[in-house]
Amino acid sequence: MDGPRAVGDPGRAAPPSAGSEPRVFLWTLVTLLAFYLALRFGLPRAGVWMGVSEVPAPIPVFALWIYMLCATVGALVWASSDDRRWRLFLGAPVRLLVGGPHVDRRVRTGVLVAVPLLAGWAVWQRVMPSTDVPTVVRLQHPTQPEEYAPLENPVRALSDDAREAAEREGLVLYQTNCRPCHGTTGGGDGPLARGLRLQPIDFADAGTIASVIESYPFWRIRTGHAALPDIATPWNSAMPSWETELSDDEIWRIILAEYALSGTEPRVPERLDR
Amino acid sequence: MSPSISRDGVRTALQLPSAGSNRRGRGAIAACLGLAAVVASGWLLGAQELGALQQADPLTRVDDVRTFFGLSPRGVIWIVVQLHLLFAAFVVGVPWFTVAVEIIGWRKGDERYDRLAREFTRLFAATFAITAGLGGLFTFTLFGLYPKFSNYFFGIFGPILYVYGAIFLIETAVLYLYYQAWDRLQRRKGLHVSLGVSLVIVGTGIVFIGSSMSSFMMSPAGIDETGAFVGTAWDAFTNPLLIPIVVHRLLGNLTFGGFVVGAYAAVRFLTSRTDEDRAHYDWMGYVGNFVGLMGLIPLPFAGYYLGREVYGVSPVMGNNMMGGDFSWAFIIQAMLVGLLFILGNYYLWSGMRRIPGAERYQKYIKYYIVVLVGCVAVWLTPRNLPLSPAEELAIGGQVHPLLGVLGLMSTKNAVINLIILTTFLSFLLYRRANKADLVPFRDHGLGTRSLVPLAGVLCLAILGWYATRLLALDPAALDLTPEKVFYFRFTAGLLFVAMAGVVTAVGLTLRGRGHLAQGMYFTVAVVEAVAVLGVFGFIVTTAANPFLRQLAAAQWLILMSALILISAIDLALFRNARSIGGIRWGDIAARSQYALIALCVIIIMTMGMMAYVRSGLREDWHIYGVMRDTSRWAFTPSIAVMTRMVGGITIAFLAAISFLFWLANLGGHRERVE
Repeated sequence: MDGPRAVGDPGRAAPPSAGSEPRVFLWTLVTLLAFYLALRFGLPRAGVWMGVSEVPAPIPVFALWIYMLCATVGALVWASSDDRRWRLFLGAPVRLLVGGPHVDRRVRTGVLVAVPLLAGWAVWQRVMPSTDVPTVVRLQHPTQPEEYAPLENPVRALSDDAREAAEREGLVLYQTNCRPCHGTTGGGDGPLARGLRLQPIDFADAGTIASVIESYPFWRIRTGHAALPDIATPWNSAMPSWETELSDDEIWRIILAEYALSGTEPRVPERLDR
Repeated sequence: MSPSISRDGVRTALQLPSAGSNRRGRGAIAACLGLAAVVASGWLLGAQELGALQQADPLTRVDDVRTFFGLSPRGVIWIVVQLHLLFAAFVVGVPWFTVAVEIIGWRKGDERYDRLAREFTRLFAATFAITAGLGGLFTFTLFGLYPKFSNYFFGIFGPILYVYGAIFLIETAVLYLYYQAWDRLQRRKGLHVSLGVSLVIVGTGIVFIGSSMSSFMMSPAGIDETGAFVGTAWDAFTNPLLIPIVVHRLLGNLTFGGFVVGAYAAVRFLTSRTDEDRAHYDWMGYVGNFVGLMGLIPLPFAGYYLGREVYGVSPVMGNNMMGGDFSWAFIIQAMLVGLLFILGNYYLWSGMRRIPGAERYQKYIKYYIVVLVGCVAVWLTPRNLPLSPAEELAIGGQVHPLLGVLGLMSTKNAVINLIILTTFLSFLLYRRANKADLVPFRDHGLGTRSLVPLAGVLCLAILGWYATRLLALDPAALDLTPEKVFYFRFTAGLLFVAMAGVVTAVGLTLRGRGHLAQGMYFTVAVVEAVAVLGVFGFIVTTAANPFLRQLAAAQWLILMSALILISAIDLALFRNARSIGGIRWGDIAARSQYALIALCVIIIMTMGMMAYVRSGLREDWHIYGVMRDTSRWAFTPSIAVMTRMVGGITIAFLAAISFLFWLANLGGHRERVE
């Protein structure tokens, strides 16, 4: 943190950096386009190659937007962090708009026509009446009702032998009631899963049952999709309410079995550092 | 110097009304009108956002909650308290680095540092009165609008409030003494610096007491099973979330203060007419950005610590925060904090233009950008991407099979560590930009040569302490089964590997291979803190999640050891190195100054939004689990409402502080004339 020692002329241009290119703007556009194509077509195939999906899963528009926005910010930061590069970067679009010695008049006219047309098209896309169901911003774990929050799994308080017996019983209940959709190992791949619009969750995924306390799946199993608030898109879930089919004790045993099947542990309420 | 500036200078020296006087007069009128417009728009905003609330609420008794001339009491309190908190953050945060700058100037005998510190002091002194005024307004409105809650709450905190009042009076006295006695104590600098240190200590005391009240509302202490308060004021003060919130606030205040003075310097730079002023304000902006980034680097970990403690208070509150109602606010926060890091780095890179020799390092910047922007993109990827029905069907679920993993906490922790390390590398590049012809390490004096081993010992102590602590940790203490001790040992093992890296790095440096030592330990930090522990975090999440807190602490300690050791090696390496040329302060592109202004705006929005999250986590409770808000305004405002409210508050704060800075400079102008 040296103090101000020398004062320079603010209008003085920095020396050109070694890597500057005259076609900075063009190359930036090409790089962004290549990045977009990699995201749009390469990444879904990479997912298959990595074994995370059987078929290429498309990158959602929202993700494309935020990644392209980040890439554009990165490109602008790179272009403007050096004076000469920034002048070169701005030079091309400015010349295209106001004309210059090396700009073909037809190209300039094309740009001047294309820009408003593109803007108009974008506005039209935005305001055009549509019958599509809108894109939904969804919550992963909506607020648990107050009466469920303090509940603890009574089966865990049993002796080791009794708990193992309860887990076995829970496994039988699971295979009988839950397996058709959730699958034999809780992977969300049961025989009926393919018949559902959206597949059930994979219990082994770190972001599902492992990230919540046990009373959370108890609430979800007991009340099903109907009790979900709108923000959690209940219409996207085929989970029935089990409170009329299973007793609370049976649900707790099933929960024990689900964690055992998926090889995960429920979130433990943490102790405070004091 | 241009002729017009010369004329102004003569007019100033002769105390004649200058040509600038009329402009200042018009500026004052414009500032007043702007402020009035902002206050009016804030008023209308509150009215619009929180309902047409003219009718009395039949369900709410008048002695519980009252409206503010028909406006929502909650909206009014929100605006007043948030403005108070923003000003308070500035008044408490700036003295930390003001005193540091003054001490540097004192020890170096360099008057420029003194001028800078004094300018900082003028700024926070100018905002002190409005901070106090807003605090008073907040108290009055709270009593007026929420009488039942206020009686209960202040009944509990009564004795603490007397202390609060006393400390506030001391703060007032010390602050103005520190400001006004600057000239008088020039020859007794030690005494003046001790006043500054006292100011920092008293300010920290105010943060503790103020924070204890908001943390009590989230994690009340001294409450029995029936919800009655049976403890003492001290019990209420030392509630579980006090320390996590204070740590987070102190760092946040430092960051906030740095970025706000950075923006002030940027505006002054852009309006400067002389090279001297441009050089001064360029330097001031650099200091502001430096302080802001220094505070920002540990903030994510402080936030994580606070988040874990919130989970500890209530798993429901914790779930609402990260997976529930407020999870989208955290995505916005990731975007804002990511921008803070990107813009902070951008300012550093832009500033390399004023350093002769910096062009040698320009080629590395594109790699930094790729890492930084890539990490920010990962950081703001939500677990549940907004999907159209067609996309849901194509994916076959609500979580993307490939991108879903980016939404989990382990990934977030890994990328934020990489962002911090990249920012640190930017600083290293900046430091060495004009250095050449290093002095061989063995030719340095004893002081420089012992710096690296001392830093190594410090790192070994930190890493060793935590590794042994993990080895001694009983799984039962975390409600885990005995076989889970494997996770503790694995993490401790990584800390021991890092310790071996520290020893190797120190040895290499002593043998004159400092660059290799830096590269080696940087690699160790990236591999361990980002890659290995990042992936290991997924396993711990599913198998031993109470251990995640310790895992994150281990990640952070490895990261901090890298910052300490590599900085020490860098200081030793470049000590007495030949300078290619001095930094040409003032020679920086105008766009970098807009980056400083953007940093200020973003930090204000971030603080406003996170205050909404902290307060909103209580849902419909005044005091979580103890005293419920039964009024009609007890709903959780949506993200859309939050963005409008926080946006309005940001504009109001910027207008008010600009006005105050303008006032402060009237005083500064008079001082210069005298």
